[in-house]
Amino acid sequence: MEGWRQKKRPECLEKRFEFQSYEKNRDFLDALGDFCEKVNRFPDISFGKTYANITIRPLENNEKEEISKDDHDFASKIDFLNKQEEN
Amino acid sequence: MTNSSNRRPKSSNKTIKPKDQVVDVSPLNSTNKSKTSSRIQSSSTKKVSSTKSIPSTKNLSNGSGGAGLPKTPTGKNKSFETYSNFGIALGMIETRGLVPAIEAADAMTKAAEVNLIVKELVGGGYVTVMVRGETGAVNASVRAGADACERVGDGLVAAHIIARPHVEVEPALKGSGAKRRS
Repeated sequence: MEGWRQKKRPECLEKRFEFQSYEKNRDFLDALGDFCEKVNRFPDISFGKTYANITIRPLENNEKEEISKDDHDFASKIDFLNKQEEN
Repeated sequence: MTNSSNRRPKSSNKTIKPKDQVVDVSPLNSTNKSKTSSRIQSSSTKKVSSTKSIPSTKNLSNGSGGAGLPKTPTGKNKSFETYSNFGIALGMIETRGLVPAIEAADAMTKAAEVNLIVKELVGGGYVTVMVRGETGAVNASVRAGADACERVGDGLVAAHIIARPHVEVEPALKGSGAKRRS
């Protein structure tokens, strides 16, 4: 889970992914989209030509609305996706 | 002096009190019912929803959470109901120039079941288009839209997907009606 920043107010995990080209960015976003559909969990995504910002917010059913282990696991999996796309 | 009753439409029912009369503002082709029924108003406002059917098989309550999610159940939240016709998630694409914006809007609406809710002329040549729909659909459509407008000129400026925008954001999603300077 490198590069993820945990923020408060609102609680969230954020990471900026940088890419060399739009195509690589697009491949990552496609893989992320498929993964999100698979696990039925959708982060906020902001992207331009060569970057993508991912924001993970706490689960809705989490009463305290705090970042939990599940959120960290989800972030780790997104990192793994990025590494897969790089290779 | 002419009779004031001449001004009334022939179909008006004199037994209905003026306070009970409701002006139906629904499109002409969408109504075939009496225009003086107060019940019609509520039913016709429900019909204002998008003509496109958003797939209901997927769970709309995605696990994205959201910072300031309304505490009240969505079914009891009137404001949510008002805008839920368009789906939950919000997708936005900002472009440099109108052509890529239209290209993006076209690609977005073709790629997935989403509703184009606004095209905003931001100024300085920047244009933003927004869609709403089921979260997965918005996700896919924004990717497709960004892909399309990226190929047109130097179109893509930024794209953003909010899985569950807060209810307080909803009024800000209406277009300002800004027009180009002549």
